[in-house]
Amino acid sequence: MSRWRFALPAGALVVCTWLVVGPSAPAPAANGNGIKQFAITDVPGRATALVPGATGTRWIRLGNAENFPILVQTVTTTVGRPVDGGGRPVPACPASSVRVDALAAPVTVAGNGTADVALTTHLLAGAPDACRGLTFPLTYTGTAVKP
Amino acid sequence: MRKISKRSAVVLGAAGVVVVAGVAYAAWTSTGAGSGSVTSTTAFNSTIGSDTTGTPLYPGAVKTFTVSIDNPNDYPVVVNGISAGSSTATSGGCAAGTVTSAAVTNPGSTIAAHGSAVYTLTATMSGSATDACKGQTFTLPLTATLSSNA
Repeated sequence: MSRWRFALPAGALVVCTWLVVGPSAPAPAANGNGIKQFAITDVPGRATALVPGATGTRWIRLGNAENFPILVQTVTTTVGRPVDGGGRPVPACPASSVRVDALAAPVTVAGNGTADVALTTHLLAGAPDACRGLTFPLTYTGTAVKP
Repeated sequence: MRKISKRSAVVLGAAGVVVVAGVAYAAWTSTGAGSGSVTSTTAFNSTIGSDTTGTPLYPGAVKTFTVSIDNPNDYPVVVNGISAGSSTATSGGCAAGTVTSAAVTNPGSTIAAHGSAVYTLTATMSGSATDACKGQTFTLPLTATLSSNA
């Protein structure tokens, strides 16, 4: 008998636990599905020109629109097809000639603030002559959590 | 009021731990996106200049002379080759082609960014050089091929 007395309250508690934990899983953020998307943009005037076989830096700015800090854990970059000074594609220079390393370490961005970080860039040593003086478009994606 | 027994307290405590663990697991996540660009550097041509004229030539002589090649680029380069050279006609009337130099392949050494390097070439004066070629300075147009070597 005493076993049932204790078992029933315990079962009720388990049910209550799921009710409490369940709704908390979807984050109560502004967009209803997590923290607002943070922005990744180039820092004006802070890029080194790509040189064959050498590394350079591409400074990017992480923008946090939330009023609390976020911890940016990853930033990855996709390199697009290069264009010349007139905006024309240059098929002889493949996009794979350029590589941009992922974010080296997590970065905290203050609420309603920004943080500048450097990504390492590479132009392959064997890049063809067609790759001289071109602009390579970059697309950034990243992930963050509320620390 | 009814008292909570020890076993009930243990069950309640365990349930509390489960709740805390559940809340801690529910991290807020986000994604970021954006675009940017990088640019590749342009290339500037190197210049070959006379370094030393070497010892004086005479008909049939083979002598060495040196040239300097600079690198105006922001990256190191290596010289893949230096073309053969043939002298132009001199102001004193010595015929073009009196002095020649052999081509050089892979002379070695990397030229640092904004640096220069000296290369030794061999000049040969034709055995049929005339008197007009005495005391003349000969100019040999040369072309070098270089590639990035970072």
